[in-house]
Order: sequence, then structure tokens, then C-alpha cells
Amino acid sequence: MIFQLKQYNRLPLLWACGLLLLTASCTKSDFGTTDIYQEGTEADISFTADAPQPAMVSEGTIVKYGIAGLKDKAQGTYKFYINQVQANILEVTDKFISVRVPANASSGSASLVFDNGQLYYGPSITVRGNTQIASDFLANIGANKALSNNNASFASIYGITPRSDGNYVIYGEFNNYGNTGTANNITSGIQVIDATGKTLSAGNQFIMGKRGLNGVVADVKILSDGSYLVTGGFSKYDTIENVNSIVRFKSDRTFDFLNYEVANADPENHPEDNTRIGSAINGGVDGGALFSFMDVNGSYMTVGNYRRFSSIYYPNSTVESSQLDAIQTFGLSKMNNAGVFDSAFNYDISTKKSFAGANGFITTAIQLYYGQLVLGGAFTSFHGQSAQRLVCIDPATGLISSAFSGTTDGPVYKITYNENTERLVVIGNFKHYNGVPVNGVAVLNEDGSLDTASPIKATDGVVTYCAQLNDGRFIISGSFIKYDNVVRTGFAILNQDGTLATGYNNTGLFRGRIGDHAEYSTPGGRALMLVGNFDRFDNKEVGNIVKIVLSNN
Amino acid sequence: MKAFKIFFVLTAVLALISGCSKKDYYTDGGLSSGQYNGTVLQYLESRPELFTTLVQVVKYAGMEQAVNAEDITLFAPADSSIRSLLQFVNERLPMAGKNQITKIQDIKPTIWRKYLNRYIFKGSKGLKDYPQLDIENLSAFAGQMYTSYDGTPMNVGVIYNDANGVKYAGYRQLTISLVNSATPRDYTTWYSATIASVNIKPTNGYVHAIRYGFHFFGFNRFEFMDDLIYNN
Repeated sequence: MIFQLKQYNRLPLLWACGLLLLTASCTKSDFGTTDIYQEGTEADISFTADAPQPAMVSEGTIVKYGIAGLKDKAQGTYKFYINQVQANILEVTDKFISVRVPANASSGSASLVFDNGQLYYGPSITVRGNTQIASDFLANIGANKALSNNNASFASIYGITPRSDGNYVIYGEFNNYGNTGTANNITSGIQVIDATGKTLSAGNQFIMGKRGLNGVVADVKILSDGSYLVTGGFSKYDTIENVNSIVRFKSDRTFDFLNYEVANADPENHPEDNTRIGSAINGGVDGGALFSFMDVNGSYMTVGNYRRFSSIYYPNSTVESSQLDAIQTFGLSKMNNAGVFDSAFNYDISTKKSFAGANGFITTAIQLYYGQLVLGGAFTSFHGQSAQRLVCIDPATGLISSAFSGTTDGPVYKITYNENTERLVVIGNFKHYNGVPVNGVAVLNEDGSLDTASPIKATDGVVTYCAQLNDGRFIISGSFIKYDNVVRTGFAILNQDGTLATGYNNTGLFRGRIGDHAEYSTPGGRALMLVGNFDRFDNKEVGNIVKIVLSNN
Repeated sequence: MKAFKIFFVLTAVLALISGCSKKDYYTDGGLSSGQYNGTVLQYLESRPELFTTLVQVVKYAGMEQAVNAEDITLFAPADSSIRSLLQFVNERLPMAGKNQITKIQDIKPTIWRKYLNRYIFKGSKGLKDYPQLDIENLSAFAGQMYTSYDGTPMNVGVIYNDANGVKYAGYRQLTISLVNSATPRDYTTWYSATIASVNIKPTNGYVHAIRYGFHFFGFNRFEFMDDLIYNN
């Protein structure tokens, strides 16, 4: 043992000798060091790290920003902006610059722009106003996010449907919201949240099993008995395979299914093969649908870009194989609440298929309060007749109705409808509505005539969402920086006449797209739930949903 | 143990013999100069595996004169970033009622130019001419805003990486970003591209080649798509 230790102890010594030999053997006289990098440059003007004083301002407030290197520059060669609105410069020293907050200012960053185009960005301030992220939403803002694989960017919320108990159902293509999912009950694609945006506990969510619906949820309607009609792009619920884009969940949020009797070759030995499990709505459309609507008899009308309606004929099917009953149907069909195809609606007995439907994509649809459907998209004909991107459908026959008529000269991407104010807003890539020049947004009466009292003004970008609130005001959103030549980065509140609502347009950056909104009155104001695919509201990071409050001063 | 001793002695002797003499297979290349004997455009054309489409876009967008003769700095996006962009928009254009893009001529030259000009700056600037950028601490090291050839403000800065825990002592990486004008101090709202090869020096300026892993031509692919839908 002692001998071995001694041996090991000699090892480092030997290595040391070796190293000495190696290093001493060469003498490089020309060995020197060169810096890989040359000295870098420094910015000649820089805002200091201190927060501006004060950081919360109103119109007319004097704000001081710490800045170095500006005093040496000739006055008058530069301008100062607060979130892109020019502010009057009051004083410049070697340590700070003070400016007055201009009218129409909104929350955001300072910028200093020289006449030669050189630009310096500074810290951000908050402008007080009547539009704010609701404090009860803000409190839980980190969890109130729709995520897909922990990422908000591909986790759109398509819509929000209010429930009579004051809670909301949100739906789309997310797979996580507030971590309510468990191994035995995932809550992807559909979620129940309360009026603050917070998710309800796992026990109050939809029963989805380990796998849930295998595709996006595009639409949820709550039926008169409290059950949920769910439309989207799925063909399977958990382990149940006979599912075809439209399903129903009972009012207790469990999946509505039936055990259908099927042909059984060996009922004596395998009585379990007498029945087969399938969706209670035995009918649907292949490849997914966009929306479903109800008619007066409680039947379901389904709108989309599909080519086929199909159901399973169970008496001729077995546990392993299904006999399909398929009908060529182009994007519009009706079935009763058991999924039986309605051949009185959009069906041509002579050709045994539906009428021609749209000759281009349908992207949006709404139902007027008296039952008529209005469809919008990139089509120019419907059922073989001219239909310039908009068409109205009679809920009884599936044929074109004259209750509403309108045309645009470019694709329609979205229609919003407010039943209370009886106004529709059509949004898209068009320059004219019924021949009248508009800016991609048209506010309409229910018959399709242009509401000339509400002209939406021009933006410097693209409008992707606009809707009328119950009090007549509008929310408008898109990728614009200015609305009516005033800086409104992506979001604005408008008066009924289309002008910016004074006092409500203080918010900073909105980035992304709104897909839907819900609205309710609160003491002293209105609350709005906005959902879609967006990651900023008022410069704050959000995850495709935000609740804002418009307070009455 | 004896075997080890012999091995050690042999190694030491070997080291002694071989350590000093510089064999002729070792040549000191010195520092890479990055010089290229030709114009910026000729440089791009000399690397067709990376820049064939970019060269087409430069010519189609009417920027050939600038890239070939003027004193400029070009942040060069590789063809794969143009391809990524077109794949992205082509997935979405049909739904918006527009045809898919099959060749660069399907897009107006003005739209190409709007996005191409974000990569081109008047005057030649190398790595050392840009200030430090620290995305964790933008209030101290914000890089600097530079106005591009047609006037788009872009942030260019050098990220000083850490080395063995020593702050800012590591390698330096040039970065160019499209800054959201509403939230310039919020780095998560920027669209950034990092540079893989810096200081390539043709006769009329500098080329900094952009790392092409995750870059979409034009920086903001959503804005490009909107332009294709609404303005093309």
C-alpha cells in the first residue's frame, strides 16, 4: 500500500519535469499578443439609465429625461418625440432634456430625431387615460395566456363566447391556458375562464380525456339547453373516432355520444360487438368547417370550405368498418340535431348534390338576428350567381336571400355584428363598398346599406378588426401606426362618427390581430375581453387575450 | 510502472526534438484580411451558392448601381432567408384571395426595394465602427440607430459576449435589427439578425453576411405578407 502511494506521488513530479522540458525547449523571441478586436466606438448621444421624471404623465406635464452628449449639438437641428408625437423641448443641459407632453400623446418611448435622419431612442413613459388593462386581469397577467408548446405566437384564440353565468368559453388552437390541463384531462383548444380572464379550476373545464379533440376549435355556440355546439377541424375525440368536425358537449361539458347498434356476425360469443360508440351528431363535414349557426327549428347550418357532408349508416356498419353516406356539398349544409342531412337546404334533387356555393374561399360568416346568414370571403360568385365577396343566405332554403346585399372590390376577411346596435362591420382588402370609396372597413346597416353616419377614417396600414360596441363607439385594430393621421399604434377607440374618442386613446403598442371580443358593463365603465393572436397591448406583454376597461372619466 | 517510465522518457525526448523546428507544412496565415478584389455585387456573384436570388432581387429592385458603384455597407441575407419568407407567405396567400408567389417577378420591384433597403447603408462601416449592444441592458448599451439607404431606421450594434464568466470579454457579434418604433427599449419586440461573417471588404464597401438559420428576408414577415396582400 505504502509502495503504491509513493509511486503515485511521483507522477506529478514526472509530469512537471516533462512540461518544463516542453516549455523551456523553445524560446520564441517574436511571440506577442494582438487584440483580435480593435477598439469599438461609443454612441455619441445616449439616454441615461434613469427613469424619466415623472414616469406617469398627462397632457401638458413637463418630463425630464436623462441624456448625455446632447448639449453640444446645435439647437434646432433635432426634434423630440413621445411615442412618435412631437413634444416641445423646454430645456437641454449636459445631464437632461425636459419636454412638455403634447396633445394626443400615448404611452411609449421617447425618441430624438436629427434633421439628417439620425435617431436615438429613449425610455418609456405612461400617459394617463381612460383606457387601461383591467387591474383584475393585470394581477394574473403571467398566467392569463394561451400557449401552444409554451409559445404564444402560434396559439391563436379564435373566439370568445359568453356564458349565462358570467364566465366565458374561449377556443382556438392553443394547448395550454393557465396550466389547468392534467394528464387525464387535457384542455387544449377550449377553455372556460372567468370575467377577469382567469381560468376556472380543472373541475369546471370541458371533459376532454387524455387526447381531446385532434384539431382546432373554430366556433363554439351555446344552445338554449346549455349544451355546446363545437365546430372546427377535428375527426376524433379522445379515443372516439366517429367524429366529423361538428360535435356537441352537454351542459355538464361532457362529450355527447351514443352507442349505435351495428351489424354483428357473432352476437352469441361477442355481444359487445352489437353496438359501437360515436358522436351523438352523426353527420359532419370532411376536412373541417368554420362556423355553425342555428335555425328556428334547432337545426345546425354549417359554413366552411369543405366539399363533402358525410354520416355513418350504422345498420350496415360493423364495429370495425363503417358504411359512409356521403353527399357532395360545397361549403354550406344543414342537419338536424342528430346529424341527419336536411335535403330541403342547399340541395339539388336533380343533381343529388348541393348548389355550386362559392367560387373562392369563405373566410367569415355571421348570423343576423332574424336568422339570415351573411358570408364573406374571396369569392365573386355564389350558387352560380354574381356575389362580390359578400352573400346573404336564407336559413330555410340555403339559397341566396335578398334581405342583405352588398359588394366590395376586394376580399373580405372579417365581418363583425352587433345585434344591439344593428350594425355590421366588414373588414377586408377593398377600396369600395357598393361603389362608395372606403378604406378597407365599411359600417353597414342590416340590409347591407352603408351607414354613412360612421365613416371609418384612413390609416397608414392595414385594419384587421373593427367592431361596434353597444354604446355606439368602435374598436379598431390592425398593423397601422396612425389612424386619421394621429399616432395610434395598432389599436384605437373611435366615436360613433369615426373620430378618435378623446381621452381613450392613450394606450401604447398593440401588436397582432384581434379575432373576437366580448363586452360587458362594469360600474363606471365598460369592460372588453379581446382575443386573437397578439403579444402586446399598451406595450405590455400579453398572450392572445387581454381585458381592458374603458372608464367613464 | 517501468513501462510507464520508458513511455514518459520517450515522450519527453520526442517533445524535445519536435518542439522547436518549424516544419514547412506549418504556414502562419496571419489574420484574415477579408479583402475581396471586386465590387460588392461581384462578391455576391462569386458566391452563387448563397446569394443567387439576392443578386436577382438587387437587380430587380433597382439597387444594382448602389451595390456595384457606391460606397455602401451591405448586410447580406442568404437565399435561404428569401426562400423561408416565400414559403411563409405562400402558405397564407390563397386564403387571402391572392395567388402564390412562384418567381421574384411576381412581386412588385417597389416592395422588394422597401425590404431590401433595410440591409443597405450609405458609407462603409466595419465591426469596429458600431457601438456595443447589450440586449439585457438596452438603457446602457443600445447599439445605435442608422438610417438605411432609403431611410428606414435600423439598429446596428455589437454584442460583446461573456467569456469564462468575464463580462463582455468574449467574442463579439454584429447584430442588425428592425426596431419597433413604439417600444424601442423592449428587445422582445425587435426583429433581429445576427452576422455570421463580418468585415468582408470588396472595393466599394463592406459586406456582413447574415447567419441564415432563422432569418426571414425583410425582418418582419408579417409586414411583407400584408404588403403582398394589400399593395402588390
